[in-house]
Amino acid sequence: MAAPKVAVVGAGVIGLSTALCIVETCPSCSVAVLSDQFSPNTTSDVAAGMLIPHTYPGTPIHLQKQWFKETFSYLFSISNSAEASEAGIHLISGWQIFKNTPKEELPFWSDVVLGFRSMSEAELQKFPQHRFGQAFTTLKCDCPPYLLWLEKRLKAIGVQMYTRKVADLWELHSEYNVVVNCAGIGAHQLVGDESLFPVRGQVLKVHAPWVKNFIRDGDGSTYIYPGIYKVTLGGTREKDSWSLSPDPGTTKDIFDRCCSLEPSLQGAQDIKVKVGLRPSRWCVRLQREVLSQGGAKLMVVHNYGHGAGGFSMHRGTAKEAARLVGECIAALQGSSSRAKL
Amino acid sequence: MRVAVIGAGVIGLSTALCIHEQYHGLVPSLELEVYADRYTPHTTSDGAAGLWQPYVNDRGNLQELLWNKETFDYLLGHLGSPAAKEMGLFLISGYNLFTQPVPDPSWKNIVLGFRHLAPKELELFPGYSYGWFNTALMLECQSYLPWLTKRLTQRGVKFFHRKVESFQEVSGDGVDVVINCTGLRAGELQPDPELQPGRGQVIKVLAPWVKHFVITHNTKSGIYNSPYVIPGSELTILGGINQHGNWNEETSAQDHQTIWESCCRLLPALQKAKIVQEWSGLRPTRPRVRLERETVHHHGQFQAEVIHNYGHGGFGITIHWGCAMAAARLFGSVLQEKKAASPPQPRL
Repeated sequence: MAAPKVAVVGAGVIGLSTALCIVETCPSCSVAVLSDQFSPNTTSDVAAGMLIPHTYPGTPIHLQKQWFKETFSYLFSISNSAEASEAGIHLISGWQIFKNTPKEELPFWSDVVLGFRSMSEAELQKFPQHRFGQAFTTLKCDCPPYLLWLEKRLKAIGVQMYTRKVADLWELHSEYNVVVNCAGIGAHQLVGDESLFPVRGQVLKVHAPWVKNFIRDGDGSTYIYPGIYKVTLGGTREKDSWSLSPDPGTTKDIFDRCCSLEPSLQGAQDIKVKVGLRPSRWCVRLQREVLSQGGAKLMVVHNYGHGAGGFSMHRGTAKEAARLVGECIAALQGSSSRAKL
Repeated sequence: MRVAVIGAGVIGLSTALCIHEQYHGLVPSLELEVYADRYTPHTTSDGAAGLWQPYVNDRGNLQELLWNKETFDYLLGHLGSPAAKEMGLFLISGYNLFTQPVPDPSWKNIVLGFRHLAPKELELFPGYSYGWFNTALMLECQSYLPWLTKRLTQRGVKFFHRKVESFQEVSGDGVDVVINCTGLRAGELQPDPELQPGRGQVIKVLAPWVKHFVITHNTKSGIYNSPYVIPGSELTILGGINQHGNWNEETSAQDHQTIWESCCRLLPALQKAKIVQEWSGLRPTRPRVRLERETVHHHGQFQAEVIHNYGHGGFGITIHWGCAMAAARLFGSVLQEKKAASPPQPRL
């Protein structure tokens, strides 16, 4: 079999990191990325890119922890290198605060992030409406820089990028041996996955460079995430809303909620509003599938449905997807050598 | 009653404000004046990064520890106020790194969330085997000094741009009390062999991806003679120079190399940072802060009632408000004596 041709559909954090992992594990593969959107217009570009996992009800915890650990380690070493600023990766410390004591004392990721501990009384005084909190240091992946950095690395190793709307995976069967579906929320239409649903998030990106620590309400509704140039203020979690238009009432509400946690944000400048649809699912769909029509087959690997946890899990799921691609190629090579007999 | 504050760095302006806030209501005739040849952004304070952190060795001085605490608590109280941004005040977390275990600092319970570093965190800093993490405050003088100036101006305090050559120059002019906040050049008003320059140099860069302060310590080379990185609101300050006895205020190319190389080794992510500015200044170093009253005589003649408040080394911002309040208390005792000396005239 000639160099296997792999198409990755989707150019958000999942698509690009998966493409990179495929090249890393299968250097003989010819990989292309196909997407109707590239940075700065992907869902990933709206996200703050904080490494704070979201728990998937349908995925075993040990697996989520493994994915998070792989992602954290990978980014940790980049953050401590000369590439850090270009890749948009940096360490950040802060607090997760709770109005009511959380059900689980220790989240599954508490020993993966750095310095995880309960907040002291003195620290909690800054948040009079909250009774309990956790302090830790984690990583943040700023977008667009991270996506642009991934794109640059991919192009340097010969991966082609095509702006193309794929309406049906089958349309790729004559050009590619394996298709990797990293279409995120697009998978709803692309493969008709009814179990995938949007959770709409509106955020503000503001200029407030004196804010150096993150603050997150443990209920997930309000957060302040300082990035390299802008601070992301959030947010909303509107299940089943497909609207990408910013809502002015929501903007004011987010701003007010964030200012009550960090009053100095009143002085924030250059406020921009963005909306993204978290591609949410009971569990991440990370599995192989063989499509067939007539006598023809198409190997597919799905890697989508990361919801609010895309950045936190991206490298771990990308590696698993690349492993599945490897299995597809082995299967194809096995069947093609059998065909030669 | 005329009071002259000499010096317009963080010590001079904050002492002026503290005195005016406390005594203006009690002494309606109080007239406060500030004299300085350098104002913001040309003071020593302006070159400092602005991180609240006392020296790791507190020199056994409980008084200074209390002044540091008073300053931290005062600033912390202002964090949530609308003034914080204008003051240049914000929270910041970060690392202190050592090559061997050291005792906890006396200020560990003043800062927030003080803890020792875990092995995984130390992996970030090869060559350092021990360290601390805590959350402290930044007070950027390039914002704080203008804020103090504005508050003082609103209160009717007058500013004079000139170099005062002697205490007598102002006291002979009718000033009742002189507050000496002249920093390193206090020796020009009254010789003080204990006051020496601790020359520092910094490189200011654009590196907004750095969100933590990182301060290394080397017991052999002494405080601030080891690389440090402190992110400000706009620029990140790289430093690590403290040359005792060096009066040269010009930047040195060799020091620039030392700072740049050692900071990039400490934080490889700095390699892509754009250098914006270079600055050099002299820390007014003294074995302890001079904060005391003195009745200055010249040839047996009374010259001036002076309150000295200088010699804050590399921790001026850290200690400033505690010292301002102590100076204000000394001022109160001067007032008390003046009141006792001249009983009020009967009004008919």
